Amino acid sequence: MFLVEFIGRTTLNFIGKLGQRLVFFLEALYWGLRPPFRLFEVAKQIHFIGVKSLFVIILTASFTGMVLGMQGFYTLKKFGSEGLLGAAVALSIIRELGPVLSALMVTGRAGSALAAEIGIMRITEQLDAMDTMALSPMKYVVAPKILASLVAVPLLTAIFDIVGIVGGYVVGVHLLGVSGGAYTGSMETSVAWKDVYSGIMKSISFAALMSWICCFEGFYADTYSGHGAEGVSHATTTAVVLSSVNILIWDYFVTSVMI
Amino acid sequence: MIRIKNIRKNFAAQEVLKGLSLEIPKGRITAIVGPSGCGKSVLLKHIIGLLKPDAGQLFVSGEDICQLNGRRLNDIRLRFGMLFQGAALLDSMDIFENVAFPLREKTRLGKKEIKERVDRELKNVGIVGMNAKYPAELSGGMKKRVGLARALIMQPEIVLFDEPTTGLDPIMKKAIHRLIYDTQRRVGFTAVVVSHDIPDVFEISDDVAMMYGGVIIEQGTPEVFQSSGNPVVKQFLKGEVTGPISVS
Repeated sequence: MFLVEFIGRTTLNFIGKLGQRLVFFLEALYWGLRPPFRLFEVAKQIHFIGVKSLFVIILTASFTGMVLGMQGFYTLKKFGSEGLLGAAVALSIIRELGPVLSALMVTGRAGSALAAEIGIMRITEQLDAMDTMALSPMKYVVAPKILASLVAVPLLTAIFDIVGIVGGYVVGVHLLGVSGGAYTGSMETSVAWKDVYSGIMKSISFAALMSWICCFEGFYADTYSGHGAEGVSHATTTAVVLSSVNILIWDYFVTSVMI
Repeated sequence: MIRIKNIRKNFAAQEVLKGLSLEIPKGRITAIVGPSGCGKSVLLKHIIGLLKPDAGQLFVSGEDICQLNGRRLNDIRLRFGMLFQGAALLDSMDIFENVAFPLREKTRLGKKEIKERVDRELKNVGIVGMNAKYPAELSGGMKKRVGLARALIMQPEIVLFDEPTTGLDPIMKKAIHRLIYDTQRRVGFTAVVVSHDIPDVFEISDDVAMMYGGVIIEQGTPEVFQSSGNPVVKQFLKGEVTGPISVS
């Protein structure tokens, strides 16, 4: 009897929380897509999420591309197919590593900051103050962050893709002696528009997932045990862990559909 | 003006409001006092609709705000101003933007009119020449003053003060109390001041209500309140450790 009760309570709790998250996301989209648009605030957030993440994205992309170039070269060499290095690097990055690693990097750098910022606004009653002025925190705080993520993360992914491919080229062509023409030629013949499209669609969905989870955790930071700074710290950690895990799980399902 | 009827509120297993009833008259200053943690701020958040009671009714000008959501609730909230315990100024905005924020978003006033109104309101609370400063650069007393200016900028009918003098030195406490009193007398709004600042808060109050055990146990003018025979009120007024109010 106790076990049935426990399963029932846990299931209801889970469904309730899922519903709360869904309503939160839909409400944020409603406010974000409803005029007047807060373009200045969205631009400010694009600067924070996008421009300020550029360095870490370029760094990660260049080394990911270089490692792929090196690993790919020695693997392909076993089959006498070094000429396909460009295709191997480009397809791996455009279809998989670009979207996933960009989203994970942005989660670590900007997602945690989004959760912490909103969490601090919650515990210092700034969100309540907005409510008392009949100004929706969803409109002024959450929606611009989610919209900005939807713009910034795909752009960062595109930059990651380019830098990663260049990293692979530097290692493959300049260090390991693959022909430059073969590298770019194999890339050109094997990368289709569908690959680019699926990578960009993935990164948009990861951006939505990351910003949604991080904003939600920050928004309800006061519901964690140990209110105040401890609550914000808990919310931030949960936001980063949940976002990262969900990005990886979601990636599998999107890949199965889009492959 | 505000009529609270038998409201109850639980947080997990803890019942904070246990059928609390209270009437707050129009155009007067009503102080709500009580020991720390007795639920005064929770009550204030119910009055402005930030929290909804588990049971009971809360009427503002005859309308039960517990039944309202969305736009209707926002319409009611526009009649309120609220000064939070920590002022709750928006960190990302400077002082001017903080006070101008509701005017910009909720009125069609032009830039010039907004500037005039914000400058006037800030001057009324004694903040001059600091428009470009950010909340992090202000002292506690200054934050409260800016918070008060923001609470009053929409010319509300009702202003709620959540422990407006907590954490301030005695001189600043008197100054904030004086500011609340003078502004209320000048503008005529209905004020609800939650405080445990005894006896200073009596100097500015027209009515005092004491909250204890999730209900209002005593209400009256400051004079009537201070001569109450209720042992809980007596202990609270004298600040004694022993008595019906448990310190643990």
